[in-house]
Amino acid sequence: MIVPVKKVRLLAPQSEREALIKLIQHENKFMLFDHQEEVSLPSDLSQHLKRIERGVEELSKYEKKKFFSFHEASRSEFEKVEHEAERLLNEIDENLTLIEKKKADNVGLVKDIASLKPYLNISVATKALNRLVKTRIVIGYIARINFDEFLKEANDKGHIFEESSRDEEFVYGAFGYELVYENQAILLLNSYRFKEQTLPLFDTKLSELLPELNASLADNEAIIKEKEGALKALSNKVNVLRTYYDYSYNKAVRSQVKTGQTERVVYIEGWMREDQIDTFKASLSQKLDYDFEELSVNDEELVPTATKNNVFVQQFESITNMFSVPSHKEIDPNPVMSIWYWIIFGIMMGDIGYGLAMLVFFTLFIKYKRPKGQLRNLAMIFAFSSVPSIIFGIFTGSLFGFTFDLGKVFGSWFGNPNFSLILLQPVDDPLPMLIFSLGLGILHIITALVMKILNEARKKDILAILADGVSWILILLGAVFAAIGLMSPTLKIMSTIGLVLAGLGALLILFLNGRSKKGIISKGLSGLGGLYGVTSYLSDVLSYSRLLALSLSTAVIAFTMNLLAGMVAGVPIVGILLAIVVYLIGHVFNFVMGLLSAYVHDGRLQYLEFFGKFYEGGGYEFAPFAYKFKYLDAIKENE
Amino acid sequence: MTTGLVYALFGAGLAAGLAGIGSAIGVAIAGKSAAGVLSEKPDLFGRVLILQALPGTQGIYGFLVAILIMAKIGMIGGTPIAITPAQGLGLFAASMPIAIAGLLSGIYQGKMAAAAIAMTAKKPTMSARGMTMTAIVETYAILGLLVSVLMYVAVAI
Repeated sequence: MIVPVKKVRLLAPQSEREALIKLIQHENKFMLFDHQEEVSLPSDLSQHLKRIERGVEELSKYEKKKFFSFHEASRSEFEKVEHEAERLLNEIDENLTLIEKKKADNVGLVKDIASLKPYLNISVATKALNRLVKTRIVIGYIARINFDEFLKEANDKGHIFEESSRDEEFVYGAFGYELVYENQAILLLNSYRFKEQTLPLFDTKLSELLPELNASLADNEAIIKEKEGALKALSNKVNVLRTYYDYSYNKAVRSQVKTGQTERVVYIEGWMREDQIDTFKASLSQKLDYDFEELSVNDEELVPTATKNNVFVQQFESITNMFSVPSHKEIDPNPVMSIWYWIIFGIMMGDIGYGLAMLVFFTLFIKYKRPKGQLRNLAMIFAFSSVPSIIFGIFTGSLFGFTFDLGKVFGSWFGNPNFSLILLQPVDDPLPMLIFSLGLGILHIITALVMKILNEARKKDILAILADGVSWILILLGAVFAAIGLMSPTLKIMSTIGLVLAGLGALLILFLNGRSKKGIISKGLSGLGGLYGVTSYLSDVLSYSRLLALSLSTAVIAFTMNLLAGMVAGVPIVGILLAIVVYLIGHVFNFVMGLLSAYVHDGRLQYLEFFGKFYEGGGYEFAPFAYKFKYLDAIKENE
Repeated sequence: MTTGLVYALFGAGLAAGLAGIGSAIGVAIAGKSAAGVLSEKPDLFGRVLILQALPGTQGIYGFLVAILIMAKIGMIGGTPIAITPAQGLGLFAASMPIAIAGLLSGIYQGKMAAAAIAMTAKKPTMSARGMTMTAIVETYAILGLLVSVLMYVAVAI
């Protein structure tokens, strides 16, 4: 049902602003006026959050991944996490900066070593080269094909070249000349395309340098390893950071709450569920000096919609909300819709085995994985829907595609072996199942029309009740009666009753559909137009034939998989193994496809055939200001 | 093997084949769109995958009718029954509704699914509405399946 929502204002002394907002968040009963799904935070706060996130990321690299991870913090841990977490973050940052610096150093070292390698045999220290006064030494390389000529010409002209090493393409070495001959030397170098290479400056000779460089490379590696070890040792505290992230995020969100203020007081306005106001006031007044005012709501204002339902119906609210959130003025469609969704889902799965699989799998999933939000709702819906699946499976006698008659089992216990619980056989005899599907569809649509009548009754619009609700119920019932009368000769009278009912319904539409129109002609036309709605009702009812289609497809595919498994079982030696593989894969596929089809088509029947008749929607959800967690699953209040 | 059996087998082949082609094309059309969306928003994988799978059902319906026909004439799980050419053609006719409706509705449902996937990319919360709209296309494949099954039942062997 839909609970009335009140517009309220809370007032507190300015000094209590923080405390007030914190209490509201803690109580989880007060919806802010400017409610946002995602609060955009100023850059300093989001930087802070990013820093924590990075810490979590770095540490969780070393953490063992658990499939069923559930992270809980006690209230005191949550509130006092800041000190420890900041220390941890600093430690992580220190380690990370050092690791990054050493890694960058090593990249430089590796590059140096690579560029020095060809010149290791040069017999001077690079720093000494700069101190030469009368001569200059250029270090570099020259293509091998030019080298012999180059060397000859250099020697001829009185320059020197000391070769250090050579590879397939180049000869590496040092070229020396006196400064007086500089022009000539440079000309020579250019003409042979000698490439000069600037080497890093060192005090020692290159050949002695290499071990030194390698040693510092190894040193850095050791430091990196050690610091990574330190991070790994910290990884058991990653949950502290996770808690801290959620703590900081919620603190940041609190800081963005807008409050109004006068000289002495701050005030905050929002929505509250009527039934929660008393407990809210009571728990607030224990901790705070504050004032509470109820404000009047004008008619144009959009009031959020708060629903209060039992655990079963609650799960299905997410399905309705995907279509549209109910408006606060209409009757909550969820209780009725949930039962229909549940039953139709069961019929679409319609197999004892798959029903049991749903029950076991989704119960375990909820118990151990503890999903949140919509995923949890969906898992709960699937778990609930296992019950009608099993029941309907018993009535169609289907167990993983095999025929299984529970009635026969019971019957043989009580001495009546002919007793059978198989009422419908979609595969062998689809007609009764089709009639059952369409009949159920008519019931579903009539329920929707009753909801329409209830909604119109709220508005005290009697003509609308007659024209849009009662009339169509009469026509639908009339059609059913007429069909029964046509099919069985003993009940001929039924068809007469049916025709009378349908006629009454048609008359209601003919006279009342144009009630808001002016002039006799447009009234009449609108009445005829209303009767044309019969076609849409026809297609709506036919749409329920998908119940037959889906239960057929589940049953036939299961049957085929069993058949295939039976065929490969005949293969010698590996036959049984192959059969098990085919059996498992086939049934898992059928199970998943069955779930998907049932979810989609059940939703479609609710959205189009059911909601289409009465539901207006267009509201928005009552979403109280509350803690929002990224990592935490829950806070334990009492220790 | 009688001529009747061959007719029935043709029917079963077309039901599984044509409806399968429709689904394959449909799933591929939706899949192209889905891959594009995932490159930008990988976290939508679950929602987008469901939408992509929707045009896949026509193939299953065709497969279903094919299996039903083959089981009825004893080509699987039994010995072949010598049916008359008229009976065989009856089963051939029974396979036509799902074969044709499956082929075309699969393709068009794929196009619809692609549009719904694009909508999900922009507004992830609307994916359920996209699913519903995509399922509306499938109604006509379901009606085709229904007529196929009714005709299949009506052919007495």
